[in-house]
Order: sequence, then structure tokens, then C-alpha cells
Amino acid sequence: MSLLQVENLCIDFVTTFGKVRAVDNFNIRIEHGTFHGIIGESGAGKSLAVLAIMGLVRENSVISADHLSLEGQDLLTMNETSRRKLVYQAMSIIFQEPTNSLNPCFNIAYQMNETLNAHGHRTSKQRKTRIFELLNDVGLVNIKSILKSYPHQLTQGILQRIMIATALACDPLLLIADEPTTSLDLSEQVQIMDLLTRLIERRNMSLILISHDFKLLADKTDHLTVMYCGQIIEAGPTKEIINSPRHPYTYALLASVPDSWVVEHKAPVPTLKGSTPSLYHLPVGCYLGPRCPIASAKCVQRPLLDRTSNHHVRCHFPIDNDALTHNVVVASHE
Amino acid sequence: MARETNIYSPPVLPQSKKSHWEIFKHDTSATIGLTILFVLLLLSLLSPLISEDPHIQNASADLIPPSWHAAGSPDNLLGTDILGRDLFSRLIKGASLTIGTSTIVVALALLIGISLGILVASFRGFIQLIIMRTMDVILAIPSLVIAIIVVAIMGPGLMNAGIAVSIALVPNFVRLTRSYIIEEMSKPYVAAARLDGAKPGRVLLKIILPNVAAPLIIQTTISLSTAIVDIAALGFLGFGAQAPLPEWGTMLAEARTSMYVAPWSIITPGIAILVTVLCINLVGDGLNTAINSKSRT
Amino acid sequence: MSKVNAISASALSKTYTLNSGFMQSGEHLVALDNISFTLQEGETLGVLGESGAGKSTLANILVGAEHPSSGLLLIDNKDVTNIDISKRLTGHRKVRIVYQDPYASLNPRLTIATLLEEPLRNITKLNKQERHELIIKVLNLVGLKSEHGRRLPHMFSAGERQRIAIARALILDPVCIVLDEPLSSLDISVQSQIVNLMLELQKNLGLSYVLISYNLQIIRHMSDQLLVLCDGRMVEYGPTESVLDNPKHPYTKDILNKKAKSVISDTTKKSNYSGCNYCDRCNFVSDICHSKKPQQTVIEDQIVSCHRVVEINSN
Repeated sequence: MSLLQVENLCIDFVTTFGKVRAVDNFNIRIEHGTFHGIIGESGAGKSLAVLAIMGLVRENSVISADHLSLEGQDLLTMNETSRRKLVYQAMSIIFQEPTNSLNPCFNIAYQMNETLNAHGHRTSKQRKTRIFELLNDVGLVNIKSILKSYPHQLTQGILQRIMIATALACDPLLLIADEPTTSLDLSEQVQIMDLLTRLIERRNMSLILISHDFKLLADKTDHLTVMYCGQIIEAGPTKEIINSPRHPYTYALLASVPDSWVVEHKAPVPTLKGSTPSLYHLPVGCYLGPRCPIASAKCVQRPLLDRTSNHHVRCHFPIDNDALTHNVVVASHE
Repeated sequence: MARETNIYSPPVLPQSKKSHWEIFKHDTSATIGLTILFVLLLLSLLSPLISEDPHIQNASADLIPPSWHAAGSPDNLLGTDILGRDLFSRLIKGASLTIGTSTIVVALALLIGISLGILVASFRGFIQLIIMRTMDVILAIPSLVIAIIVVAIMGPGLMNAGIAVSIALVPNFVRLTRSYIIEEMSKPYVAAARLDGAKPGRVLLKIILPNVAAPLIIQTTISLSTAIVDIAALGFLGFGAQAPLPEWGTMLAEARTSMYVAPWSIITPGIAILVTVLCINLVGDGLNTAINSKSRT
Repeated sequence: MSKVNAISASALSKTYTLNSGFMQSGEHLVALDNISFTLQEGETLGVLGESGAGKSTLANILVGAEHPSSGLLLIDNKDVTNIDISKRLTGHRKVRIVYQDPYASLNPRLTIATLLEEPLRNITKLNKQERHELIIKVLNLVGLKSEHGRRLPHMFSAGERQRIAIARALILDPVCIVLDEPLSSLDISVQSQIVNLMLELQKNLGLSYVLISYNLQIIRHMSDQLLVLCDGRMVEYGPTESVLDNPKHPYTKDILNKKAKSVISDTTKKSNYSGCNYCDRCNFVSDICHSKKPQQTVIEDQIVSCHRVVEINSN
């Protein structure tokens, strides 16, 4: 029984400019104790999909799915109260800017007490022990002075650890991290990633990490989902995707990462032409079409997600690790 | 070889299809409010043609009810008051007094407020200290109390009431202007404009003020409704327009004695004030939506 | 090969006085201390440092928005240190800037053509037709079309807006463009497009760049020299390859190994502090580091500010 299974989740927004499909047939299957990455550029719909699963998407949206189950229980047929209870007990989320998640008017002790109270730790002694336990778990020392501090007195790295500790308060089975390291310094990024990996092992928890940074996801994650304009365009085991990407977008994205530049100093670097289309004006057929170096007439037909192997890809001409195709796909400087 | 033929047409960029006016029109209540205000304006302008002198007293024609009442007559559309003056004419003339004075008052406060706001935002330090603390003092005193002080010094009257209300409105404009200018000044495109060689005056006029205009417009409509209520209140209390001026607040005070005998003489100016303030608020709300939604796309 | 440096900075320092008001005398904070470098035409200087290290102050001094408290800034060997911004723009070759946030750096109410015309109207004496032609030329240089000039900023994507910002920098034919983290607000696939654009412009127009970034790979790819700033002081300066492959200062070593700890207090930036800026986080700290300011020493082809640099790197 998978921890979380989602089939064909679609999110539409009704706006003054018309109906917009922000997430198009999103699927994911998370097993216990695994580390999933969702990668995509801005507007890809990665945060939205996950927020919809947690029930945090705003009202003017139409959410539909063929299947949505958590721990084997069908969330679509449950009533609102039991669904909320189950989701808040089993799933937790941390966001990009820890300063936005913390109230600047109260110190850390007050805020953590509030959360723990809501999660059932009624006596203040219980809460105190639990707070110390949690803050220890996330690798913080000087806990007493941290608890007395206000958010503006602590660094982003420490604040993010506090958020992680708070997220762990209910002992969730699934932790979702939405770009947790984007606003941190390089060294803090490494530390937070190490912490998250340790926590997964120790607590047999699953983690979904959303990011736009391949480097971050490449070594630690087990599975990877690549999104573009609300669609999943590639998904599968991380090693396979990184070493042999099958979708031209994934290939180009991997080639664009500065670490993988093998060209001479100051020579042009591999790139993908054009820019991400607006969701109001998506191209006909394959969304990557106008930018894709190997697009052809067939690409005006919408490609379907090929799920025959465990390496899913949505493309009419997936790369087959063929030397010829490789050369074609290395896009020249636009 | 990458294919050069582009089978996709170039992307159509989203043009802002709706102008400010169209968004405003979309809001029914705001449009209704604007229409009613226009009607009022029209009536005030046409007053010499459609109404008689509001000061004529006709002892024999006193306390006549409005025309739809059995005892009323079409000569006096809304009836007459205790001194036989036609209420309709008084109301129309009063519109120009109440609304007209308020508009002038707000315009004055706007001008002074913006100028002080620019001064304070440009020169920090001592000048800022003095001006902002003075504004704080004015804000701390309720507008009616300021009016009493002004009236005690200068005597009652519509103009003095107007001055008092104007003083009371200035601090809001100063604060708003100052905070928006400071916020704009910290934006990179203002720094970029200076680095493009723009002199400080040009930066202020062409770059900062246009971006500050929107919230100022909204504050103006809020201040307008406050001004109307304040001037009417002052008229009611006897500090503002003095009898026999047909200012709506003064009319309310005068009609108190005949309230039970001729309720229409107190209801009509009351409703007039209510409707006007409501319409201004609706229009202000509509403007708010139109301006802010545009800047969000 | 011309020996005239495009830009030459010598001992640039900037001290700010904070909290000075009616009743209190101010506190002096040293934002920059003794920064020196030379930049040739067609070369890029990379500037590496954490937030608060003084990068924005340096950028402002180079563009002319601020004047240094002491030190010398030369453009084409002419002293521009204390020249006012208006004279800087008319009498000398310019230094322009591209900001980090493509959304906030363009006035939302002006069309692109009007935006690009502003500097021309304020400074040059070109007539309307000449201005129009120059605007089209510059738009084409950055990969945009002339009809884009009629649109407002909100109709463009982040990458296109950054191109517009580059066009605005280019329109005054500058000697150098300061790029303040130009890529960090952009998506990955767009970042490489902008990198290519910047490289192409440098090659074709002989531009110099001062690239402020925290992305080591981009600095390695684009810059010829590298300056490492720590709390306003220049801790290491030299050819990019040498500094990145063979760092000599503990701070540079820590950054490259991603072990640099962040700091909250700014005691080391007060003007009465005499010691090394890195001593509370340094692994090689010794007594002298707290009491005496390190001098800039030349080691191989790098300049390093560290008391113990020779010992640390001798093995």
C-alpha cells in the first residue's frame, strides 16, 4: 500500500481572462520512507499540485482527480472534517521563506507552544519536553536562547530548522518541502539538505522536495518528477533521469545547469531558446513545441504520458540515448 | 540539423483588454453612485432654472407636505418648512453649499498635503521632525474640536468651518504622500532614472508622482465623504453655515423644532446627506477596484 | 595592446554614519575598506561575497551614485572619484548597472521605448530621429524587436525584462557594466540565454563587466579576475582560475567548501574595530587576528589579506 497515490489531478482557475489549467493530469505515487523530488521552473505548477493534495488551494479553483488516497484511504469520498484531520496528522509542509511563516511579534517559544497545543500536547510540561526533543532533532544547540529569541534575531538557516521542527511535531508520515533552501546561503543549504536526509532515515518518513535546482535534487532523491507548464513531462528514478534524460526539456535543463558546462572559458553555453509560455496562451499540442530543437509537424498533436516503464516521458520523439539524437538536441546558442 | 521552419505562430502577448473605465463600469454599485452624483451636479447647475429663491419666506404657505401627500401641491415638490420656504429649492442650493464647500476644502487639503508630503520626503531631519509631529498633533484632536477652536478664534460661519475641516484633513494626505514617496524612492527604477541623468525634479514629477497618484485619488474620495459629514455636522451644531443659508446640516438643525409636525423638513436634508456620502463611498470603492486590479496584472 | 586600464580602483573606502539625529552623535560603519583592482577593456571582474559584504556599495561607487570616503577611482586613467553624477554622465565614459530584480528595475508606467529614450534625452544632444534609430539598434542587440518598444514592462517575461535592462545599460555606450546578481531571479533555462547574450556583447563591443554573483560556476565561466569581499574588506584578489582552484584565504576556502558560517552581528564593521573581519568564524584564528588589521600581501599571482596566509598555505 503506497503512502500517497494521486492519479490525474487537474487544477483549473477561473479568471477574468478565461479558464486556465494550472495543473494538467498530475500523477504521483509515494512509498513509505522515500525521497521524491519535483522539479520545474516558475509557473510549472509544482507547488500548486502539492498544495491541492493538502487542501490548501484557494476558492476560485476547480480541483478534480481520478484517484487521491493517503495510506490507502480515499480522500475524494471522505467528508471535509475527517479528511482535514487525516491530512493534517499525516502530512506537513515547510515553505521557502521561514520569516513569512513565523509571526514577528512573538518569540519562538510562544509560537511552538501554540502549534503543539493544537496537535494535542495539552500540558505545558509535555510541550516543553517535546519542544526540546524536536529542536534537538533538527540539530540546534543553545535551545534555551533560541526559544527566547524573536524571528528577526535569528538567521534564515536556524529559522528554517525551527520550521522543520514544528512540521515534525505531529510525527507526519510525509513531509513536503517547497523550495526550502532557495533563500538560504550556500553553506546553510547543504546543512538543511543533510538534515532532511537524516530525518527521513531516522523516522522512516517520506519527503517531497520541490525545487528548481537540479544540483540539490540530483544526489539525494530517489525519484524525480519534471514538470513544465502544469504537465508532467518526465518522471522516474533520479539516477536514470539524470544520466539518461529522455525528454528534450529535461536534457536542455540539465545542460543549462552551470556545473555541467564543459565549454571553454567565456564560450557560449548550451541553452534553450524562447521562454516559458504564459498559461493563458499555451501552444497547441506539445507545450515545449516552439522552443524544442527537435520539434516537427507531429508535435502539434498533444503527446500523452508514456507510462509503460517506470521511466515516464511525455514526448513524441523521446531521446533514446542515441548518439545522433544527442547531437541534434544540444541546442546551439539561440 | 535543427529545423528552422517554425510551425508555431509567434506568441500573442496578453494585452490589457480592459481599461480602468471598463473595470469601473463593471461594478454596478459604483456606476449607480456615479450616476446619482452626476444628477445632483446637474440639478445644482440648473438651480436657477428649476427652483425658486430658497430664501423667500411665505408665511401662508408654511408646513406644506411633499407633493405626493394629499395636502401637498406640485408647486412645492418636497413641501415647505416652518417658514414657508420651498424645501426642494433649499435642498438644491444646499447641495452647492455642502458638496461645493467640501470639494474646495478637500482640494485645498490635497494641495497642502501633497506639498508638505513632498517637502518632508525630500528633506529628512529637522524639517521632517517639526512637520510630522505637527501632523500628529492635528490628528490627535478630533475634527469637531478643531472646528470649535477655529470658530472660537474666528467666529462661526461656513468658510471658517471649511477651514477647520481642511486643517483636519491635511495630516492624512501628508502621511500618505510621504510614505508612498519614500516607498517609491527605494525602488530600483527610481535609482535607475537618476543614473540616467534625470534631475531630481524630473524624477519626482515624471516617475514618482504618477505612481503615487492612484492611492491619493482613493484617499481623496474618502476625505470627501468625511468632509461632507463634518461640514454638515458643524452646520447642525451651529458652528458652520449660519441660518438662513440652506446648508444641509443647518437645515437639519432648523427643522428640529418642527420635527413632529412636519417630518419631511428634517428627513429630506438627512436623506440628501446620506445618499451623497453613500454614493461617494461607492464611487471610491469602484475606483479602488479599478485602479488596484489594473496594477496587479 | 593598450596599457590604459578601462577602470582602476585604488584603496576605495566608504564609511557611513548611522543613527545620527537630533540628540545623538552617529555610529560609524565601515562598508568598504581599501578595495583596489584594475580592469581592462573586454575583461570581467567577478565579485564574490555574502549579503552585507559591501557589494552594493561598491556597485554604487562605480556607477557614480555614491562617492567613496577615500581612495581613487579612475576611468580611462582620468580621475572620477568625486565627480558628481551629472558630470560623470556627460564628460566621461560611463559605467552602467543592471540590477538583480527584473520586475522592480523598470518603471511600470513607461513603454520600453520611452524608458530607453530617457537617458538619451537627459544627456545626449541627439534629435528625435537619431534617438529612435539608436533605440531600435540597441533593442536588436539584446535580441528584441523594434515593436517591443511600444509595450509596457508587465507584458514581458523575466528574461526579456532583463534584456531590456541590459539595453538600457548599453544605450549610453558604456565602458563598463556592473551586473548585480543579474541571473538569480531568472529560471535556469533563461539564465544561460542571458549569459550568452552578455558574452556576445562583451566580445563584439569590447565591454568590461563587474559581475557580482554568489554563483561560483557562473563566475568561473565568465570572469577573468575575482575579488572576494568579506564584510567590506578585500580578502583575496587575483585571476579567477587561481583564486578558485588555489584559494589562499580561509574565507575563500570556506566558501568554496560551502562551510562558511553566516554571521549576525556587525561588530567587525565598526570603524573603531582593528582586527580581521573573519576572526570570529575562522578556523585558523590566532591572537594577532583580533588586534591588528591584516595587510594586503602578494602571494604568487594573488593579493590576500591574512596575517597567517604564508603558514596556512605552506603545506
